[in-house]
Amino acid sequence: MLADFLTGLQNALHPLNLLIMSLALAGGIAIGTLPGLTATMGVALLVPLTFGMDPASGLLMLGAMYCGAIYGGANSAILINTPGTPSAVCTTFDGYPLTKQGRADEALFTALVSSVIGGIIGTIFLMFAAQPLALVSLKFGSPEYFWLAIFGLTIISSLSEGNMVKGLLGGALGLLLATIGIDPVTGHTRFTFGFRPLIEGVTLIPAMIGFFSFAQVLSLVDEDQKYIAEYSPIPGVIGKVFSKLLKDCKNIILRSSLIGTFVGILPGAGGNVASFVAYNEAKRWSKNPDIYGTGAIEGVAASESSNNATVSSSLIPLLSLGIPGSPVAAVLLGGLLIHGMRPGAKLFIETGEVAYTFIIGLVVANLLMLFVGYLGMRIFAQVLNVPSHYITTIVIVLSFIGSYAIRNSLVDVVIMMVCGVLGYLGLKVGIQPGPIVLGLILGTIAEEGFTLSLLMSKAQGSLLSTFVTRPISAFLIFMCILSIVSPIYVRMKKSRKDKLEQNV
Amino acid sequence: MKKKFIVILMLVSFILTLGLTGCQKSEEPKNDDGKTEAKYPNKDITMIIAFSAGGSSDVQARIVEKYFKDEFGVNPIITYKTGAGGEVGFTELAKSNADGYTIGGLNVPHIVLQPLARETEFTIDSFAYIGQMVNDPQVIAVMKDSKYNTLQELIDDAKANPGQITLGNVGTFTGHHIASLKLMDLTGTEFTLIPYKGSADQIVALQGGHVNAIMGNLNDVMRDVEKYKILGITTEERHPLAPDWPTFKEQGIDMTSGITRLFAAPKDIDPEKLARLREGFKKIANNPEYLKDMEKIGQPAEWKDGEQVYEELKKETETAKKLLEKFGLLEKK
Amino acid sequence: MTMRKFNYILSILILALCFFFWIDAAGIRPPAHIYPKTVIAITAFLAVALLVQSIFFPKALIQGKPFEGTKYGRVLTTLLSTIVYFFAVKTIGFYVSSFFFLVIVTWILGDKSEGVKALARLGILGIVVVGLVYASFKLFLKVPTPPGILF
Repeated sequence: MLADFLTGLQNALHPLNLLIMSLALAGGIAIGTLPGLTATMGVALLVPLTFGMDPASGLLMLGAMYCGAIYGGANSAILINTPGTPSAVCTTFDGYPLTKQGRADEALFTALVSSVIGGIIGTIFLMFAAQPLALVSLKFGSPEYFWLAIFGLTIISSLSEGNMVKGLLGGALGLLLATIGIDPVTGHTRFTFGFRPLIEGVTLIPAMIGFFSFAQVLSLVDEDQKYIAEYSPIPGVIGKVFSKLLKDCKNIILRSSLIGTFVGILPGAGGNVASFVAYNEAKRWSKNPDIYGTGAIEGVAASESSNNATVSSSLIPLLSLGIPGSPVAAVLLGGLLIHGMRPGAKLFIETGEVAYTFIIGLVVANLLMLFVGYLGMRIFAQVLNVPSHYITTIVIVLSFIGSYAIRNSLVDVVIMMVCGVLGYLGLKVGIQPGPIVLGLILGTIAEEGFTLSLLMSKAQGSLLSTFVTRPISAFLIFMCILSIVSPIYVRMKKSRKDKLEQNV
Repeated sequence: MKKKFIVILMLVSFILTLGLTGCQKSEEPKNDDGKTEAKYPNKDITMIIAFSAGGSSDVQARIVEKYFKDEFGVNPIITYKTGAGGEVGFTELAKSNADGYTIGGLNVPHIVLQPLARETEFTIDSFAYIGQMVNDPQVIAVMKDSKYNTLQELIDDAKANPGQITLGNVGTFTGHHIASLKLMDLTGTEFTLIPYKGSADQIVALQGGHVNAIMGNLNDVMRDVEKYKILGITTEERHPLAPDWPTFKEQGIDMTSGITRLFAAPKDIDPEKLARLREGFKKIANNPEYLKDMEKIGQPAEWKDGEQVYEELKKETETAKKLLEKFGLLEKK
Repeated sequence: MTMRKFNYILSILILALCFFFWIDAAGIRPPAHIYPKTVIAITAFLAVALLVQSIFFPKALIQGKPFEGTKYGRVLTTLLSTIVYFFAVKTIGFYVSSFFFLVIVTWILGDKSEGVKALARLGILGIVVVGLVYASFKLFLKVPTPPGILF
């Protein structure tokens, strides 16, 4: 193993491989930044290229592309309130307010550094704890997914600013949207109301582009400001961000990376779920939760460190069990097989050299990302120097192509436009896009988990033993209750405190 | 300001180009073989794949892509039209221009079952079949430490405890589903079928002990085969890739089943062009290099001519219809 | 109009939506019907809760007039031109439509005092953006763009 490890290190640091990784990172960041182009697509496009390459270099290229694409989503989230990937939805909550305050540089750099740290922490787990974590992921059956989704939904209560009922309503509408199409268990077509193309359902990415990008464009037009925000590069931003992260965000980044690592190993949940959970936990444990959503560096750090931690951990089931647990992992599986590598328990024994090259390469790619991402960030930030009416039209064109490219379907473009208009109107009447998109993300997980558990309970003859008494389920139920009760408790405590202050 | 703006745009374009050249394919299509215009094909052929990039259907198509250029002299352009269990892509192919420059991958029994299960815009008559490339049979797999050692033991247990044994499937109205129904019908047993979203989820469920057994694909269980006991495989004879596995037939259950991958064109394609495609695909399918690649990705290659495929599809439609009716799954259309 | 009135409209719209979904859900075979019906019920419940809150506890709402100061002209122009753009993409083709969309809509939304000079600049912008999109999507990524008669 040590020999393999050392060869891996040597391979990963080979100048040619460093160059390949840097290019793939740049490509990945560009793909991630553009809404609608996903990490899966980026990696899938590169797979045929690796046919003619040495397996190690090919895999390094794919890994770097994956890291870059997940990080890249943050750039557009921060600068124009448009998450480039679903994983970056939570980054908009604080990233965009920071931009509005003229602190785009800080937000962008925080996102970069947190992504790198998250990515490295995830990779360390991939390297040293892949087998045990893979076994944990196997313990997640349908009931556990159901409760995980419910736990995710409790986050809405802390996401909704102002009116709690409207926040919940947004989440419920998201769940409702997610039920359109073919139902996953009986194959029945439902809620399409005779409109055939809807059989495909409301896909997450076009809907997300609508609710965020297109709605944002309409808001920009409405605001009629010359520029999105004041922007001038802040000198010494690097030092400022580092000292802030060291002082206030150490625990947040560590916790979020652990959450990301854990959520990432679960097939069926990915960076999008991880960042919501991490954001919520950061807010829950914060001394002043009120700053979240108004431009808190902590929020950006939580969201970005967790989603990049999922990059490596989502490969854990693939590399140690041979089970592609995420769409990107499925694409990578194709790549591995074509190179004659069989993922699974024997991967590290039979082809240890390449496997270690790949894992160490992920660490190196993350470190390289610090430089490539920094260059990219300098360029992307110039968007703020472009008058906003230019941005409007360019974003519309990109939204079109982004929603089309997901499935090569014009129906998705229509879905994007409809969701955009709804999102814009929703913003006006106080329904935020965050809960709706969260509902859409979790809806399919919740439904499949619920109905399959129901079938299982039929076979077992007991609802209780399927839904409640399995240990992980019980723990998740406890977390749900905690998550519902704690904000209420905090509110009560706060209102009591306010009253006391008034009385004084 | 104006200048600055243009400079920025140039910079962005430079970086984009830089980043993306990294992903660019090194070999560009070259058109130096001086073919006459009348000869078919004389431009790239679009190949519609109904499942997402990286899925089994895609990986297989990518292998075909490798040999396509040598055979036809043009490139295939793989286009993904995914959604609704392949239905979106199949519909797209059925409605495509039948000029010979759009072909696509089809999966059986998906194209048989979807028109039965719901209203679709295609049936098996909407296509002209080029040929079958893959036949991925189903297996019943349990974990190594399971109490079942033979198919009979599993069936006996299911008979003794109707509905209490869970059998993991992938989706509803899919190959797995129909194979499970066939099994239940032939043996008079009742399993509780759990339809997972994909084969990865199904394998997780088996390895995590969430289901008693799965009706899986050969391709999926081959990857970590030491972990399972394969109780039976749904082929006529023992499979060359896994000669140790007993077939259903030799255990007294007279059924065969499998997910097959075909290539087809829209129905109205010119017969001459169809003949050219059939000839070419047949050659690819029998190329030893291709077969080696297929073995690498673990997909059992099996070539069948287009006409034969169509005949079998017609038969399969009849059996499936009866089966679904029997289980009350065809209530309305 | 006040937020309160909008809440009434919103609740009623959502209740209507729930009603249609509920009717459609009748055709789902058990046990798949439980989940969607539960979601519909929860949505309807929340819509009623919003209604009740708006009627009886107006203090809990954020007051104000949500659509006050909306620049309807600009928003509607953008929306309509996007719809026109969609049909143009569908019939004419993606790249040509995008070019005209970029030039025309940016000009409409921008500061028109600059006149023709601005249009010339926009022409360059259109070419650069469309060229970039073409280079990155069509040539490098090989992502298909919506087809149309022209380019």
